[in-house]
Amino acid sequence: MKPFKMLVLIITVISLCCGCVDYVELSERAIVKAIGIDYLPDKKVYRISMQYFNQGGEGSQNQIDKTQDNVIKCVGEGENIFDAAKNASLLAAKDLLMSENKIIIIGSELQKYDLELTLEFFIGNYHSHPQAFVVAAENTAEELLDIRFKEGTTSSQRLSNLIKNTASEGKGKYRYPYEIMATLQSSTESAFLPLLKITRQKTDATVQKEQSGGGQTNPAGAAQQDEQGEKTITVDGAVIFSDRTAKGRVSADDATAVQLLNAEINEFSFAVNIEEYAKPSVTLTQITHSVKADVKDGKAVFDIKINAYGNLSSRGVIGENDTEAVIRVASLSEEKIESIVKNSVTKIKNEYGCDVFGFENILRQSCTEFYFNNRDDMAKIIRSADFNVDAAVDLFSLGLQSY
Amino acid sequence: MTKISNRQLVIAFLVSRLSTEMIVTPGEMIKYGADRYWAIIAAKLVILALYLPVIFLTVRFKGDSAITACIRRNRIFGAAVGIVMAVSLTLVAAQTVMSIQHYVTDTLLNTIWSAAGIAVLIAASAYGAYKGLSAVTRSAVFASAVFALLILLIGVTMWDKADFTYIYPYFIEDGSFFVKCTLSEISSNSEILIFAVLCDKVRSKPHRTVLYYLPILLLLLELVNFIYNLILGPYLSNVEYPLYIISSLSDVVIFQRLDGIDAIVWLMCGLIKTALLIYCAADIFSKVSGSDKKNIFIVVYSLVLFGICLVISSNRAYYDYFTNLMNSGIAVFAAGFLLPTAALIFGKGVKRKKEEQNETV
Repeated sequence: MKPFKMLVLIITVISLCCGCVDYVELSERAIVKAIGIDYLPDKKVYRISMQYFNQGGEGSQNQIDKTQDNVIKCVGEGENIFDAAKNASLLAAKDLLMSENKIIIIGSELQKYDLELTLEFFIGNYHSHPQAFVVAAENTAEELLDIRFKEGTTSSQRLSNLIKNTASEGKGKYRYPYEIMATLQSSTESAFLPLLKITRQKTDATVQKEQSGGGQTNPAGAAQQDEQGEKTITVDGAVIFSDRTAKGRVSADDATAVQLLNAEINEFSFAVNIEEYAKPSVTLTQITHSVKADVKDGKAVFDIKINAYGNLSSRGVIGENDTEAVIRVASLSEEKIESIVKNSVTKIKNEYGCDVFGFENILRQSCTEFYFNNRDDMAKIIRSADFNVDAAVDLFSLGLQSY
Repeated sequence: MTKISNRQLVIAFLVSRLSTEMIVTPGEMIKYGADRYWAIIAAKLVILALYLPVIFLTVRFKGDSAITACIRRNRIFGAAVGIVMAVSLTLVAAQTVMSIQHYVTDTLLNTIWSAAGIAVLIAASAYGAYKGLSAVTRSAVFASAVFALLILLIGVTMWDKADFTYIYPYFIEDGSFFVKCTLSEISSNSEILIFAVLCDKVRSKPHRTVLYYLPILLLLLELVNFIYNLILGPYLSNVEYPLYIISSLSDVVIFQRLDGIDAIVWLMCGLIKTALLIYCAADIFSKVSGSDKKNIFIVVYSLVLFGICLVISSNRAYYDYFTNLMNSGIAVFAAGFLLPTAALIFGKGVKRKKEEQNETV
């Protein structure tokens, strides 16, 4: 009995001694909220920019001043991303805590290199937040992190809300690192990242950073900025990757098509071009899709079916009992969806050789024998595959139904 | 002597095996595709065959374990069998402790001093073994409940992230991987050693433990493998701790990530397995020596186990050699099959009254 009582006593005493050993206080950690990674080809180094939570607000050390952006940016350069992150930590003079990071932005230059190697830094680091959104920058990732928003406790909160909202509107689904790693394992080594762009708009969402000497806001500069509008960030289209590297940029419609064939869309609105009814707006909800694969004459064929329910969110001049008009709007909505999907699949699959639609998985599931017999040529087979698109839209508005 | 029910031992075995699924199975043995489903089935059939000598032993020598049956025939023979069994158990225990330590270092505490981690793990397991078989199996029930909760939460929260296009019907794609995976699955079933030692601790019909345990385990492993494939898809082949990654992707309102719960579950499972192994070693000692100083043996044995872990983990070459040796299934085959077979053939049971009367006549 005695040795065990001693053992329990020793373990208890050891566990109580944790305050006596070296440890890092939360306030001494840089709680990273957004990360941007760029590659500098001239210097042949990676540059990492991080927005981390500034705990030194007004009043006490940990008070949050919601009128401020509450983040500080730090940068680091290195031979690889890990090295750059370590250097950023040295410059920030704080230990980096990445478990709260919500956004990973890949700079345009880095998009030309192996995406899997870039994401390996986040995947290999178990402390990194696995549900961070991975997005592409139009130019450098750093310039996006220089723009600070007033909204939210931290500046990056608005950015993550922007990405989420874009997805719920059906303009391009965000991706987590593991989802991208999964699509990169396909024969075409494809990926899809929403594209962040800087635009000038007349809003007051951002914090103006141009300051004159002495830390005072330059009124002249502010006035000039007001006239041109202020720099802000939008999600516009996406970057398409094949063979693990960026192959091109696609429009918002293409991003919608990718989302239609991969994920749920809460809501998707568009205007139907019928002049006589004053271009009514249609809002689709409950959008479902099914893709079936078949092999005909040694060639893969995909049958894409999209079903959606919705309503006329803006009726234009359509009368309450004008069933014929609603049927016509539904028919044109179907044509529009078919056109979006057809154009996007043709462009992304046939031109870029990119399979962000998951066609390979569907072929493997439906035509397993064919898949395993032609596994080595799968990239070519997917690229040259035929496809048919069929959309069915069921509209109802104020009791009017198209079918 | 403390006796436990079949149900308790089944749960303890499931917990023990599930800890291996996460922390011992080599990463490269979990791959995306159909092969692992079949490998799990094939391995369970082989394991059932390997369990047969112990099952027959429990039927032939009622109330005996492989060790007691051998001791009754001849004390030296019994001691030899006991030593081989104890060595095998020690190797499995060392592998388990080092795997937990490796897992903890990789996922949670990457700056932890490994000797301290190993010491704490062994101390906690030794305490479990000291508290006895009944206490360990009761802890296993608790661990299994938390595990079930984890799987339920993963199922609920990851439903929208599941991609059914990742699943496809096929038999065996890669023959060599199938063989390796089957062997790995067989080598992961070290519970057969525990059963060979502890079957005399089961209240009645110990063979039923195996009959319940194997089908439940088969279903559980297939379910877990299905979840891996459904969520991670082809990326599964590249990850080392799939359930940990899936847990970290789960998002519920109260817990933003479930990897903390996952770590606790696997730590509990690993500790329960180690405690069972230490308890078995102590049980062999008391049976062979006839001594009741089991607790002193547990302390000494734990120190020896700690030393073995330190030596093996001190050098990468030793560690790799040791891991390869254990993954070859040698411990399971030698101590889980050959020793019980020897005990079945050469062992001796307690003579029953009827037999004694027949001999007299």
